[in-house]
Formats: sequence, C-alpha cells, structure tokens
Amino acid sequence: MISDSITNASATSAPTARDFGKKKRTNRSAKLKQSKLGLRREQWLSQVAMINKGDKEEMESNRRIGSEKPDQRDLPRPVENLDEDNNGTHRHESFIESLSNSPNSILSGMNSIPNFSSSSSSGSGGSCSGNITEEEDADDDGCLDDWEAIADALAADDEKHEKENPPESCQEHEDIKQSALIGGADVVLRDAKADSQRRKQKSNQAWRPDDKLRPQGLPNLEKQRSFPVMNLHFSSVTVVPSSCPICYEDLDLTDSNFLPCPCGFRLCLFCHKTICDGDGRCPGCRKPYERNTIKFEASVQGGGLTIRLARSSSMFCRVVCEYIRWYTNFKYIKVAISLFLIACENLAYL
Amino acid sequence: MMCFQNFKVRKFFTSRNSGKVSPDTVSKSAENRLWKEFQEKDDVLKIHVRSWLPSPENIFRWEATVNGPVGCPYEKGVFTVSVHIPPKYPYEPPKITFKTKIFHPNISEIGEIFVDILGSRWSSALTINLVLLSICSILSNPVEPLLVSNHAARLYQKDRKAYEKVAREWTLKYAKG
Repeated sequence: MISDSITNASATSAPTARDFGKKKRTNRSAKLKQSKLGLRREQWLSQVAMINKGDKEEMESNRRIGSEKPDQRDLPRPVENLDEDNNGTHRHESFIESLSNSPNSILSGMNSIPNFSSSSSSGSGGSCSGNITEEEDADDDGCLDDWEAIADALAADDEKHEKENPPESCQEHEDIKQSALIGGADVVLRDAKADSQRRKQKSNQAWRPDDKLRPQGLPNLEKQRSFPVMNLHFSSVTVVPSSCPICYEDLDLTDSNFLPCPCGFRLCLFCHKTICDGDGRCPGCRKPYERNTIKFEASVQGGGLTIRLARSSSMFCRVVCEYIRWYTNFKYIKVAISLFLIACENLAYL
Repeated sequence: MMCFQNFKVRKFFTSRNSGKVSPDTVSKSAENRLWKEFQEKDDVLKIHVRSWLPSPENIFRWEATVNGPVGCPYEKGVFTVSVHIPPKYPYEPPKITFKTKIFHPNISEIGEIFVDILGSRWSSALTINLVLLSICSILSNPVEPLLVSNHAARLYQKDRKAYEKVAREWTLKYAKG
C-alpha cells in the first residue's frame, strides 16, 4: 500500500497542470490492481456503493484513516477526498433513480449510463499504459457478463409487469430500503477492521443476502403448512346428520355448515332462531348460546358453504400472494445489482 | 304433498324476510315433527310403551300405556297415561298425566308427574317417546326431589318396605291389564 501511494504522489508531482480526470483514473487503476479476479472486483464495486450510501459516521471514519497517514502528504489527500465525494454523489443519484422507477428500472439504467460516459469523457486524457490495456481486456469480459445480466433483467421485468399490484410495489420499496440500511451497517463493521481482512469480509458479505432472505421464506412455508389443516377441517364437515333433530326437516348446505354450540349439536337456522327468541339454551347440552356464535350465524346466513369456500380460497390467494411478493422482491434486488455493476464498469472503462 | 310444499315456502319467507316467527309456522313445524315421532319404530320402545291417538285427526293428543319394569313394585302393571302436547312443541314440554292410580313418590294422587325433564330441564331435542321411556324408568327408581306433600314420598323415605308393599297392592288393584 505504501509503495502504491508513493508512485501516485510522484505521478501527480510531475505534470504542472492538475486534471481531476487523471486523478480519478489513477485512483481507480490503483484500486483495481489490488483485486485481480473478476468476482472480487465486482464484490468490491458493490461494497463501494454501500460506502457511498452510508451515513456521516462513515465519512468521519475515512477522515480518521487519512489522519493516521504522515503529514508530508496532507495536501494531495483532501483533493482526492473531494473527488471521491463527487463519485459518491453520482452513484448515489443513479441508485436513487433505480429505486424510484421500479417498473422501468432498465430504462432508467440505460439513461444513466451515457450521463456517466459524457462526464468522464470531458475530464479524461489520452495517456495509456500497459496495465491499463490489461484492465481494458478485463472490462470487455465484464461487459459480456453484464449483457447477459441485462437479458435476465428483461425477462424479470416482463414477469413483473404481468404480476404487478400497487400494494405489493409499496412493500417492495420498504424491503429494499431495509436491505440498504443493513448494508450500511455492514460497511461500518468493515471500516472498523484492518485492511488485510477486507478479503475475508468480502467472502462473508456475499452470503449475507441469502441469510436475510431465509427468514422471509420460512413464514411463507408455515402459511403453506396451515393450508392442509383447512382441508382437514373441510373434510370433517362432510360428516353431518341429514335432518334437523328439532323440526325433522332436511338440512341444506347452509344448515350443514352451521355449528352454533361447541358441544357439536347441529340444527337448522330456523330452529336456532326460534330457540334464541325463547330461552336461548342449547338443546344438546342445555347451556346458553354464546354471543360469538350468534355473529357467526349472521355471517353464515348470507352464503353458507360459499362463504366457507371463499374463506379457504382467500387463504390460498394470501399464500400465493406472499410467494409472488417474495419472488418479485428477489428478482428486483438482482436487477438493481446488475444495473449498478453495468454503470460502474462503464465508468471504469471510460 | 301440497301441504308440505306450502310449509317449505312459508318457512323460507319467515326465516329470511321477516324478523319474527309466526305461531302458525311453529304449529306447522310441531305437527310435522309429531307425525314423524308417532310413526317411529323402536324395539325397546315396543317392550315398554304403546301409544295411540284417541282421535286420528288430532296429533296434539296422545294416549299411551306404560308397562311396569321387572323387579320393582309396579311389575306386571299396565298404567295408562294421557299426553297433551302444546302448540309450541318442541320449544315447550308436553303435559303427561297418569289416568291409572299409582302409589309413587314423583306422581301425585291426581296423576301429575313431577320430573325435572318435564319442567326446568326440558330440551327441544327430547321426543314424546323418550319422555315415556323416562317415565317407565322412574317407576323403578324414583328421582329427587320428591313430592313433600305426597304420602307415597313420606312413606318412601321412612319405611321402604312398607312403601313397596303399598305400591304392589295399588298395582294389583288398579293397574291390572
């Protein structure tokens, strides 16, 4: 790290005129040298996004790291810090755009890419070195991967348009904000530790989104498990006497689903109403009917079996909606990450 | 069949549209139920109880004979009872009286039966046949509370053997089939 900083200082001292674009390129090239593998580089870029989104405390921590360095290099460092701030603002805006336009995330991503290219081209120079050429080859490989990601994103957006619902979209935004906050916390932990352990943290952080998704998946499974219980309840209803023991009339579908007393004594709605007008006691166990069951009676009078089917179907719809929400949320996160990587790659390339 | 169809239509309208249940509807329901009860065939019922209608058109008036159970003072006795069924049956209990004189702690001298299931503990799920079988059961096992003003009840509490002796005498005297 010290040798890299010395080389950077010598490069800046040689030319008389200072260009911000050159400094941006040299900083990025130095950072990119540290990680040779594509996967690690992509992880690093995603973490840089988290750093930019972080709170003021993160900036203070960066300043503390700067203060630890020797005094001779104080002058060039604040300028570099300003450059980093500019980079952060650009990336922050791009991420906000992706959040605000969830159904049209690809379009916003495509619009954001030329903006970055125009800004970088205005400041960049013509100098190139052997290392830069190698990096360009790596960038080309990354671009191919990104195009594949775009194809996946297009398919995901098509699915989103088919399944989209207003309340679900609101919930998606909330989930994404929560995930961003969690990412910020991880960045704070990373800054606290030494630089040598950065690689280990990168490998650890790669698994954390999966861990976060698991607790969201489990409640859905639990809800799905509760659905067979409804089936059992429905099957138990079929064992019903065919006639009312009070008036000896046949029980129709409405009466068959009517269970006013926990003792299990069944009767038709007509007889139940007559008994309630009288003393209000169950003929089977001679105990007074409860008020809750009377409400149940009122609700059942409307549709009877159809109400029960509607209830079970609403339960099924709820389970399906939970699964769809989880699935679209997962797809949305993937799309956002891929778009952000595309933007970073274009910046590094130009 | 016409009567049945009218009953269904009337029941539908009263239960769905109007807030009250008319006495006519309840009476029709009681009549329908009583006809089905009267036609009920049960082996245990045949042994102990035999019922008929004094006038075939009136289903609210029954008469029945209750045989005394084996192993009790009323053995080999045939007791005639009269059953008066109210229009609000099964939401009100029937009135059953003994036409045959009987010496029993729960039955008064004029034949009134004082049993809780015919009073405070009546249930709509009970039927006339079930009540008659219950009366047959209490002949061999009197139930609490007893009639304090009744001579049979006092004798039943004081001297059980004397009670049984008097009961057997009354059975032979009045309840001979």
